[in-house]
Amino acid sequence: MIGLVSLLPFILLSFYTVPNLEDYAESIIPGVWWHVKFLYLTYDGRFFTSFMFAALNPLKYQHFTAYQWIPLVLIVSLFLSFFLFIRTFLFSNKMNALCLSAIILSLYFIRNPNLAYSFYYMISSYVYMLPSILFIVYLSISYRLIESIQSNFPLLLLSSFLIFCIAGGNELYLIPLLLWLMFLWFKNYRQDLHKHAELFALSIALFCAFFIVFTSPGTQRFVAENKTPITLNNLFDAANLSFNFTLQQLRSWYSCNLLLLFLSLLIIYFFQSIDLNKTANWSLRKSSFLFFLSFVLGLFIILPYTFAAGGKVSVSYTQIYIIPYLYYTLIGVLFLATVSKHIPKLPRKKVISIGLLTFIILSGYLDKNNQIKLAYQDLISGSAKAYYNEVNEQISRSLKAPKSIELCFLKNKPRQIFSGVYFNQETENFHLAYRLYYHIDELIVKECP
Amino acid sequence: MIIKNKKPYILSVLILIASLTFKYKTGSFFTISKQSEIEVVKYEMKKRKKDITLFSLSNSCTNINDLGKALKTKIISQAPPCVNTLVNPQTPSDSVVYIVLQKALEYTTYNKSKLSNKDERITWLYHMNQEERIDSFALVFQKINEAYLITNILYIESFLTVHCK
Repeated sequence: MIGLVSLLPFILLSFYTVPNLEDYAESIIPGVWWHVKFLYLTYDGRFFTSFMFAALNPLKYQHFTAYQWIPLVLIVSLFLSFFLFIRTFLFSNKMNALCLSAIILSLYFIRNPNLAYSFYYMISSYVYMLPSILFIVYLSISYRLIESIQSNFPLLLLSSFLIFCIAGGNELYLIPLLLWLMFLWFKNYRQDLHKHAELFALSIALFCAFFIVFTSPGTQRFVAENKTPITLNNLFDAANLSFNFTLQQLRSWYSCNLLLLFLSLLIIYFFQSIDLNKTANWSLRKSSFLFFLSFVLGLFIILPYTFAAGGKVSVSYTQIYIIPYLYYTLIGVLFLATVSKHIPKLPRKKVISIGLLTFIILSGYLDKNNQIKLAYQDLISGSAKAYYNEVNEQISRSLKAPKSIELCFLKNKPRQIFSGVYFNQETENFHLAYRLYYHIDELIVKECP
Repeated sequence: MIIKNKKPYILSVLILIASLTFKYKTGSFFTISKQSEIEVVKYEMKKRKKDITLFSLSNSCTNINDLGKALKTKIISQAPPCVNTLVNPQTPSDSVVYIVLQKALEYTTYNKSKLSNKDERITWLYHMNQEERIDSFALVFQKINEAYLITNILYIESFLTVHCK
């Protein structure tokens, strides 16, 4: 029930999604191979993301309805990736796994650092959310591969492919991918699983994927222009920034967050009522150490970004925390699974379930940063619909291909689906793309009464 | 030593070959190849030539190429060190013209309201690719507004000064 109530506004908001200016810029590059090659040579090394811009981009065919399906597909895919994750690491019962997936998804939505960039803005969702979904699938698939008694080539093939998609999707996954591979090698060594050959192939895939990413002429030019030489001092500064910014973000997640506390209790209650598999039955000391280690290492996920930004990184770039938040959500759930075995069992009574649900709803309602509540506000206030109508009116006028068009700055900006990458003082460089997309001669954007 | 499970090793070799093929096909094996560089410049030119604004501009001019040459000469004559990349002989000259015109026009169109000040001037901080580039430079069109720019497009170079950032 919590899952359904939490997810409903985000599903409804999908139908009010409209293209952003950067989406147009990526939709005027012709072809698939040329699109990938052009971005690789001139912009960055994210070859998989470029492929998605080129191949799975409804705007290239002026299919505005299909554009609205993107957030919906991403939400369902994230849900399914959680489902696979739970069935791999926690328990196999399908119905329970579906319920828990919905709760984790709600948990992820509640404090998501930037929902518009996560789901409702095609270019960004392909850069941040899609690699994240594939990363969760990769964790599950590669773990199953290592655990399998017989050698499983299809799983190996899929894991290698996923490494390319994730690394070529977002370079911020460099550290999580490396950490996970190290963990798999460690597990193989400790449990004598005889999966050296498979792990060797995965290591080669990881090396090749990041070789392609970091030797991109676009990336190299960016690094050269930033003039941030790879020195110990610069690395230390970047690590320090990464650590501080992540802590700053986490503070809003953990500090005095009643909603998170009650949801955690609900998850513990849930774990206590079902049979967890042996993976979740680690000793508290051992798992606490592992979780602490992955948590500390996770503080440096945004290191490649802070390093490349050369000290100019801003906390307002909330989109970069989409990836660390997913990482922490998963660590948190695994930790709760372990903890649930070591704390006194909560009695299985209706009154406890109802009490917990009441507290969750109440704290959710009172929490001013609760993204689910804000999503409902966007829907109920009519802001999302007004935004959709406003942009649609601009699209239909632009589609008539006039010689000259005057557009107004947007009045409606729903918090959850408006990315900010629309006509404003900072997005001037996208005007040409907009004009080329709609074949407009002259474009004037002004403040309207 | 007999390798029992050969498939992962075969896959590793295939992954290596595929990765190197990708690098080769994109023309970025060691450094970006001349061929790929030309392809990129050609594409940029084609994209800008499709820009209807420039077509309308070129229609309003008797000879867009002469205008381009005049603009380029002006930039070279002032020759601040930061514009070397722009006037690099390797870059096709008309791409320079298209970029400058397009940027100038975009600026005037967008900042129309700002041009009502007494000290009218259009400044476009030109960036080769994205913001924060160190070789950025400013193109300043003195005492000119959009309408004036279009009607006097043939004399655009006389309003232009170039400054390093």
